[in-house]
Amino acid sequence: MELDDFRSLLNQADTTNLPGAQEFSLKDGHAYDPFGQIKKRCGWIFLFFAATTVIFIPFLSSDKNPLFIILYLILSIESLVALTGYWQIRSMERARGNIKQNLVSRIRHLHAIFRSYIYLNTFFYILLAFILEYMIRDHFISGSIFENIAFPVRLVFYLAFIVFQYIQKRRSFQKNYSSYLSSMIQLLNQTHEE
Amino acid sequence: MLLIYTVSKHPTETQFMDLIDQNKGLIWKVCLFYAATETDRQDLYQDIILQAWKSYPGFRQESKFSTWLYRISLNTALFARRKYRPDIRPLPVELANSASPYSDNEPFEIMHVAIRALNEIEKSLVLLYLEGYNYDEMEKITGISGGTLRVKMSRIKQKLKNFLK
Repeated sequence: MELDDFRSLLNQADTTNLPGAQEFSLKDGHAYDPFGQIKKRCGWIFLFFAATTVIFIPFLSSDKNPLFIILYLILSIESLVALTGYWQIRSMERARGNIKQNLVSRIRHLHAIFRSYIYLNTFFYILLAFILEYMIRDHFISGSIFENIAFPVRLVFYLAFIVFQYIQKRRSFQKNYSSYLSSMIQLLNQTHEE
Repeated sequence: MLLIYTVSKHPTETQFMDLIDQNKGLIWKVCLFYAATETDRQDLYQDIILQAWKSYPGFRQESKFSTWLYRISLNTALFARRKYRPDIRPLPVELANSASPYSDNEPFEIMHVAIRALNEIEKSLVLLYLEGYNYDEMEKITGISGGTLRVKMSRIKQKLKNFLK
């Protein structure tokens, strides 16, 4: 059988019994979203951060408990990374145009998520270490346990924490996006001439 | 004039349903080539309709509705492929036969299996070719340049011939 014979058979098919759009709940229904769960999680992290800010802002300005400040800064970084991820997923879904444009756009957004997971996240944690060190040296958080720890030990702690964060975020990216990204790259390669 | 513009920018559900009714064969063809099992086909069919409804306000009527719907259907099938294509091996003939609304004709089913064995982009090109789109229209839907499309189509035909030998 040739492709053209197949076409005529395909076009002879009776499709009257196929379900129409009226059989689906258009207003309440949601098409499958490969990143639906991740998007929801990113949204919740950001909302949690926003709620925490509203609740704890009076304590932040009055009580200078170093542990509290650090936890708050960590939460800020996590929520910023989550917000970037959420924004990129939304932009990826909004992509218009032909198949190739959509593929290129998806790959670009997935790379942007990777950058925010790895580079942005690491950059902010390095910045956090600098801020913390500055606060300790200028006694903004005096009377804390941090002052009693020798600088080299603190440095090791910072490094260990940053490396842990890096590994954690890399794993998270691989788990959530890596296989999808490689399938998109594979699809894009299929659009090129062999 | 303003009223006409508003109506076309915010189409009613009924208008959309009528258009889908006229083109549901097109959606089913995409499902037939991109989903492995009957359940997956039904899921993909529903997802394409919901995705089309979500995107319909953005339909500018610069192209035919069927061309636009092809773009939406292929994008939905390709980009959500983790769900619909857990297994990339070609289907056995018996499974490919299941619940096909088209035919129980054996040569037809063998060709169907041969097309299923092509890669994702090749499958989309075959679908557009079977639908009678010319290379210009195929280029608009896929974004692949005319020259590359011609080369790809001739290779696809050769692959199918080899498969059917």
